[in-house]
Amino acid sequence: MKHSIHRQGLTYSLRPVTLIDSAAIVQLRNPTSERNCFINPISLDTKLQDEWLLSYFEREGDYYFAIVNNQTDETEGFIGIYNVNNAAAEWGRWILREGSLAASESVDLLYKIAFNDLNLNEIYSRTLESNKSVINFHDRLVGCRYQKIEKHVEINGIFYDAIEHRLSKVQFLKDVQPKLESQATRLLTRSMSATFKGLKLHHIGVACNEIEADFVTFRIMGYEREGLSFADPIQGIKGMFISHPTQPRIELLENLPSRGTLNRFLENHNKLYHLGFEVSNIDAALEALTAFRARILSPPQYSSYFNSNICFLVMSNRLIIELIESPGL
Amino acid sequence: MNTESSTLTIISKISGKSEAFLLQNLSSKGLWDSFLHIDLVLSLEETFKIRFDRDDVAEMTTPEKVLRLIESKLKSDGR
Repeated sequence: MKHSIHRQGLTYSLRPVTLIDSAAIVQLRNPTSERNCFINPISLDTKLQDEWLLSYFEREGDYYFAIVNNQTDETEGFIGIYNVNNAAAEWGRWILREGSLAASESVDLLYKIAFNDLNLNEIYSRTLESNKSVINFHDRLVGCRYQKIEKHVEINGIFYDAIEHRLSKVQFLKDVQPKLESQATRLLTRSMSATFKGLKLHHIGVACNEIEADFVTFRIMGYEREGLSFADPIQGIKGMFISHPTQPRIELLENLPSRGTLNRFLENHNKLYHLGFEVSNIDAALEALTAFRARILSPPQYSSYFNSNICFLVMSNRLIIELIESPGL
Repeated sequence: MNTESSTLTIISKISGKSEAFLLQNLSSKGLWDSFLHIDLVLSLEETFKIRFDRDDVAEMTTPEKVLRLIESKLKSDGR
């Protein structure tokens, strides 16, 4: 059915399937692929898939989702809930692109939709008995098998038995959700390391009452001006970068006249108040950090000084960081 | 660190199958499910300080392929 249920996870999200997904569904469910021998064969004709989706849009109690990678925005698979009846439903049509790591989080998100968005009390899956890998997956998560259904599915003229696993909302919350969320957290940590590969400290931000007065102190240590000072009316500050042959670059900052951006740092004698990092993709870095409860102080905007986009965030530990996009990293 | 031994130990721990069994079934597929596959990828990356790409993850279907992949990655890193 046409629905609007979205679920955002840490690394993956579920969104409603649309007609745009036809080609990807056909490609993933390609009946000529060895790995698809356990699923109902479909035609390679995208138009027939379009027709199937159009009839699906009209079918009540049927929720089909695309599994999307949050960082790349690529669709890595599909999954669905259907046959909704008496607060229970079946789930399936689960397929992932080869090499995808979306298995556990896509199922976690599906269960959350089933039990939270659809208010189901129970969800079940029916897997061909010969599909050992998926049977093992369900055994591991759900525990005991509910029943064996003989000759449940006919594929290419052959009947196959299926194993049914059932999961209640209570069991999900108590036993299954912690396992799935734990693995999702590990995956996020992994994807963060990819996002921040090449991360480079660009500067340390120092709050000053007067840039020139502070610069005197840094000159004693061998720091020199990198260039002229600059004004940033959006941030309400005036800044100047100073550098040293062997030490980190420093950005000296003072309030622009009648502005108070730096007041609380100055009042608290918190001179070293932000760290500036170069990242290869500012949007990916921003998304990754906000997933860790960072709050955006100023969204990405073009900086003529850097000739690229910059943004400011405050981390959950109140550390302020500046991201500077540097695609060459 | 002995690569083969360490790898088999990790696969054994994650799959719940003994190292002796794995050695006798190096070319067998289906020794772990997709949930454990993710655990395996994460554990091997953490242990060997390597990174698998999508093709690598798809390739890791048997103990032998996992072993060869790790040896290849470590070799290309000069380790």
